[in-house]
Amino acid sequence: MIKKEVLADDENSQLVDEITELKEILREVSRKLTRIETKVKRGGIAASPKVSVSTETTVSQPDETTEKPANLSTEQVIQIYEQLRLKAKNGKEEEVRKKLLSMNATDLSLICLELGMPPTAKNPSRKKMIEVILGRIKQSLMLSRHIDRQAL
Amino acid sequence: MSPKSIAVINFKGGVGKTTVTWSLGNIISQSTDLEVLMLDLDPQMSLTEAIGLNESTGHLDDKFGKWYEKSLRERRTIYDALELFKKNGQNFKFPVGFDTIYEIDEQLHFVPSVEELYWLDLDGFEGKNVKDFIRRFIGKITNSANSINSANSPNLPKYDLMLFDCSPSFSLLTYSVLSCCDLVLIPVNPDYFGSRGLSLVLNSLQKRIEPYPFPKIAVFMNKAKTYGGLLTNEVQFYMREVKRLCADISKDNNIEVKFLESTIRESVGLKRAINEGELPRELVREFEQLWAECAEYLK
Repeated sequence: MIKKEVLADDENSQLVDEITELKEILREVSRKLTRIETKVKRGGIAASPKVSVSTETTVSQPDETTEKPANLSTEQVIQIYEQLRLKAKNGKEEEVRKKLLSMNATDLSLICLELGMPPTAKNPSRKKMIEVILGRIKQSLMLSRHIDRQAL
Repeated sequence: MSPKSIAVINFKGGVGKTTVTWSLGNIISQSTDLEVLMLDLDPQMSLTEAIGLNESTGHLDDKFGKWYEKSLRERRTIYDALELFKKNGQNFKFPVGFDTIYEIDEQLHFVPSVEELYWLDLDGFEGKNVKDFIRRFIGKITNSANSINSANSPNLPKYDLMLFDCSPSFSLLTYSVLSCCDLVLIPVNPDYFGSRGLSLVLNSLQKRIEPYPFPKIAVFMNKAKTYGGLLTNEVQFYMREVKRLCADISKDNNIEVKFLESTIRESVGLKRAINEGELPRELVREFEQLWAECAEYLK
């Protein structure tokens, strides 16, 4: 009787281990699917006919000298954000706004995506996207701002 | 060798200081042969209550409840030690034993908080007088481990690590801990206010508090939201910002603020886990990684 219980315990613990292992595999699969989904979504945005309308200066490439690309990598988006942030830090906020206004919807959308835009709307307007990006830049600058009473 | 000490600090509330302290204590004591002592210095007593509370009855559980009452009655709490320190200064007499330290299990021990700590600042304690208290208190614990064992008062073990759960505001005890700990561990939540809290702590540490000797500082993201097993873009945005903040402050102030790569995911079950005495399975590896990074940095 006792032997049976011990065996049942062993079996249970083995099953629990197997379930844990399977859960880990499923998590890994889920991670991979999310990665693919993100790439597909990006591709979709970039390929969408309504997005490549801007003929003005492009900021898609960090060096700002080439034509607008079909898609931006995460690194490029972050690089653009860093450039804009630096400009804002140096007091050139109007320049940042102008730059954002000159960007096409695809690029704005990709920047918003990378900055973790709150999912309030499925197809946010350009105005909304620009406000989100400006908001993130302001937050970033505010994080390291301290009021020095002595200096006032 | 004196024990290493880690102070879990953030002046912003709700970032997860208590759960991080307990989780680290739990994981280190279970996965290594280190003797760990946790100290609750927060008068809100979250860690104390989480460890001692019986969820089904809503009261302190029998074993801890009886021990805690006795400790209070016989004036053996950390607050009582502090009162004696205030009266008698550096050479205060307060032998620390198992009437001050509670044994959660063989390798994990605990100094609980008391409500009186709330009134510390109003009770006439002065910063400069309290500054050395924690250092002396740790000294007494170490001395007790080295003294001769007797049947009535068994020796404390030689602790390898002390973990301090500090209050979410700058209190005298926090000042005292900062002045003697080896590592200040700052959990930051990936949102604006959480990141701003970090900025305020680092700024005040360097410009106002100036603990001496200056401890090592490490920052990591806690309560990070995930989607499909990956950190959300919003979390990654704040991670980059916090990393930048650490680098900027290190550079501007000539101090070392290390951003740890370990990130702890948000988990609804974590707070309850303290009560149940077991870390959720999915977080074990994350806390093991966090500890590995802290241990490496402490070397």
